[in-house]
Amino acid sequence: MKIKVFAGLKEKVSANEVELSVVEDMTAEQLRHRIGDVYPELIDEVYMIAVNDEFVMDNHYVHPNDTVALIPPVSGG
Amino acid sequence: MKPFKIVDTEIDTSSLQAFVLDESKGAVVTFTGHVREWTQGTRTVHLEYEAYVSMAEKKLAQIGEEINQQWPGVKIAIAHRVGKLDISEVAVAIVTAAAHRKECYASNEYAIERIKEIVPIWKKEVWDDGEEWIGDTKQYHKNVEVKR
Repeated sequence: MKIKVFAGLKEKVSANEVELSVVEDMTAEQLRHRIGDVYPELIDEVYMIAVNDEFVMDNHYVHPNDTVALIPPVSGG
Repeated sequence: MKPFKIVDTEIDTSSLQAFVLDESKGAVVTFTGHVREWTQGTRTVHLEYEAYVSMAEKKLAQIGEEINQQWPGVKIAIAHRVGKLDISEVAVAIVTAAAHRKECYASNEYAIERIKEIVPIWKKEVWDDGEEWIGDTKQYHKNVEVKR
């Protein structure tokens, strides 16, 4: 699974996306832990998880073919 | 015209105004947000905006729906620019049109507040001696409503 990252998160990992091996459904909270395991530089970062262009709660199930993005605090306007 | 859009060129405010205006409207409010040079004593050289475009346009449309529910009859168009912006350039334009001015002003202000809460757009301030992504607080905004 390729996960899009933005702004400060992008600079932390020096890439536009991070790659995670996801073959089965898992909750957004489990996904967050997996991300932290593989990318420890993101553990202390604050972000919400978006699935298919929508913010999701921790208990939301993420499917392997979903479009996932990590959304740090926004600063538009 | 797309009423809710992320653009990478100069925002054409007049096309937004033309879009929202029809014979039922007696008021149009145009808000433009500009790049400010000085923020709390720090001089900005320029700003760089980045967006998660597909989601940002959906979230702008969601704000439009919220406004339709709260102020029925208000028509709204929003454009936000990304890329490198110089001092005084327009980063965001929100145009609301309504029968009367009150709901026109109120809905316009609501839109900018919501943009700052739920739309995935980020700005980086570039100074003479460094740069920083803004919004890098250690807590996500508590007013974020995670609604579909």
